[in-house]
Amino acid sequence: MKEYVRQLMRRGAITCSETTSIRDIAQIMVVNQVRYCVVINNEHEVIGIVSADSLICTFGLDLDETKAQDIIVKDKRRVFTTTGKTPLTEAIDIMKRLKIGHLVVLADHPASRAVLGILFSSDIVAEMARRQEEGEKS
Amino acid sequence: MKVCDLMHKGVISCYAEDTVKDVARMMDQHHFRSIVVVNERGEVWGIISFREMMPHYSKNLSQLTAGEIMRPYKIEVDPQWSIENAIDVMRRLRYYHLIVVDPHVGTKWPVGILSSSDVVKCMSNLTSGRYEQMLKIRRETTEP
Repeated sequence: MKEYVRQLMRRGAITCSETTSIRDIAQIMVVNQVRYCVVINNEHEVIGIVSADSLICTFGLDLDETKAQDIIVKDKRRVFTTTGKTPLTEAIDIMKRLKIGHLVVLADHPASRAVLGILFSSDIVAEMARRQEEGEKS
Repeated sequence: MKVCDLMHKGVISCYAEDTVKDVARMMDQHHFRSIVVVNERGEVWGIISFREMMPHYSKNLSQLTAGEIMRPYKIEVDPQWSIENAIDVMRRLRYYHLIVVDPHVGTKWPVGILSSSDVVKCMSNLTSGRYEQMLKIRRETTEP
């Protein structure tokens, strides 16, 4: 049974900068078939996350002029992060409490804000299904 | 633009008596983000998305039924609604999967799902599929 975030997270992340336009972010999401984009600064530190759910607020605006930073500010979106050493149950609690579908996993070093990967709710549900089938076989 | 222009046609459904184990398997095998719970007449009762599934991570899923964990669903989204109207409902109620019902067949008969991803796809202005877009990405190394 997988117990820690690092055992279930996907390594690497799709990123953009604060000044990336909403149109570009939408295209990044569609082409890469993801529902999120991690916003990083010039030092490659995480400063936010833009999800498909938050992106729809900009429908009807000028998508080439609206930037990622506008959504982060408007939503007052904090960065929801965890580390690979965090127990899965704790990470699930955070996702449940904040009603989000993904957590950004940072490097374990406390001073580092570099992205290590993403923990998705879809992977958690896939693990639940796998575990049930393994239980049946054994 | 209307809801029927962007929505996914058809829904994947289960009954309230089905076990959560079956629901998890459906989501995993077919990569669905939400399953519609219907009654014996095929009317919408509720919806199960990843958010409803996650709190039961360490439980025995065979002993839980879809009816116990589903989120009751009472919104009736008409296929003729404007996209702006649907987005307003999504934002207000924090429902990012709207079940579209057919007003001609029955008020609670599901015909499709409109998710935030469908709206994002429209916002991206990409008309063709993923692989066609990847072929259009310019690479200097491919030039002779």
